[in-house]
Amino acid sequence: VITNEAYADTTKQFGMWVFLSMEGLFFGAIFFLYVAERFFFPEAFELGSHHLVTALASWNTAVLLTSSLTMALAVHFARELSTTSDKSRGKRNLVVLFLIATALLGITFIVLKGVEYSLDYREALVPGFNFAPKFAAPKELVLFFSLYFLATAIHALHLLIGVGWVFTITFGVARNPKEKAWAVRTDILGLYWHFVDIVWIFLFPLFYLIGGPQ
Amino acid sequence: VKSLIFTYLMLMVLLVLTIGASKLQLGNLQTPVSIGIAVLKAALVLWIFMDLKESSTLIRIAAGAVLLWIFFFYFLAGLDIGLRVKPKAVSCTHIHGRYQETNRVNFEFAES
Repeated sequence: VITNEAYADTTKQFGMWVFLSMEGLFFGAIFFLYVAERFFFPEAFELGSHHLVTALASWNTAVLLTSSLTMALAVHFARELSTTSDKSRGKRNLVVLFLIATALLGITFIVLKGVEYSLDYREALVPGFNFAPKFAAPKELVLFFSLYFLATAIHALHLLIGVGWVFTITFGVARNPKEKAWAVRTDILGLYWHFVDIVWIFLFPLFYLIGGPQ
Repeated sequence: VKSLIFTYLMLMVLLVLTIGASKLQLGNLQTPVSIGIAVLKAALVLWIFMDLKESSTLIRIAAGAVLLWIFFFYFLAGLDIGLRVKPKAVSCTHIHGRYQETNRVNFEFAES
């Protein structure tokens, strides 16, 4: 038997998936730009990849994967919270704890990304602001760095929106844990968060790792 | 909870693998290996964290549809890019009264 409530939950999840499909096409277009430009200028892409701060980005990848775990745990406990008749605050506190952990990890990622951008700026590798490579470079290198900043900045913007959304849900759950709707709200927030994580899972190797050892 | 933590550990192992692989001389395999590991990681996140494992058919179709459209998109746009340029071959451009061979699409028409 499908209750009205379960039906409404499915609708919300379905809506989120449709939205994420469109986001997938949006990032798909950016990745296609990558394919096309790299097809024309493979050397510039290999060279550019050697001049990114790979160590920092690797730690950042770990940070983002960890935030996906804490988000998945938050979703798990939010579901338990909505089905439990237990009046203790334990479950609510777990949801709030893991949501805050997720938001903090997201902020950590954005801060480290900012540090990385400032290092790129110091190396004069930011097209439009300060682009004068200190090494012998073909002029197509500017394409690699333009694409790198375009893709990572749009990703960081998505993450920033995600962090704001996590805080909204956190305050909601903390204030009114008995409302059943937090389960599905946390659920669709989780879908969004994991999607942004997946985008980074592809950005990371395509920009930082393709050059191989130097 | 156990499966979530196990998935996380798998993701971290794959992260270490992909970074490790980037330190090896893999030549032409560098990109396929990186993308292969990324696809595995994305699949883990989709299947376990985003719970496609337990989701209804409707939601699986919504998630799968994007792959289909991306395929059409990449296939058609890829044909354009791939056929416009013949990597080793030749676009003959008439510059300074003689034919000049180039091995890439000539973005420098305007300047020359």
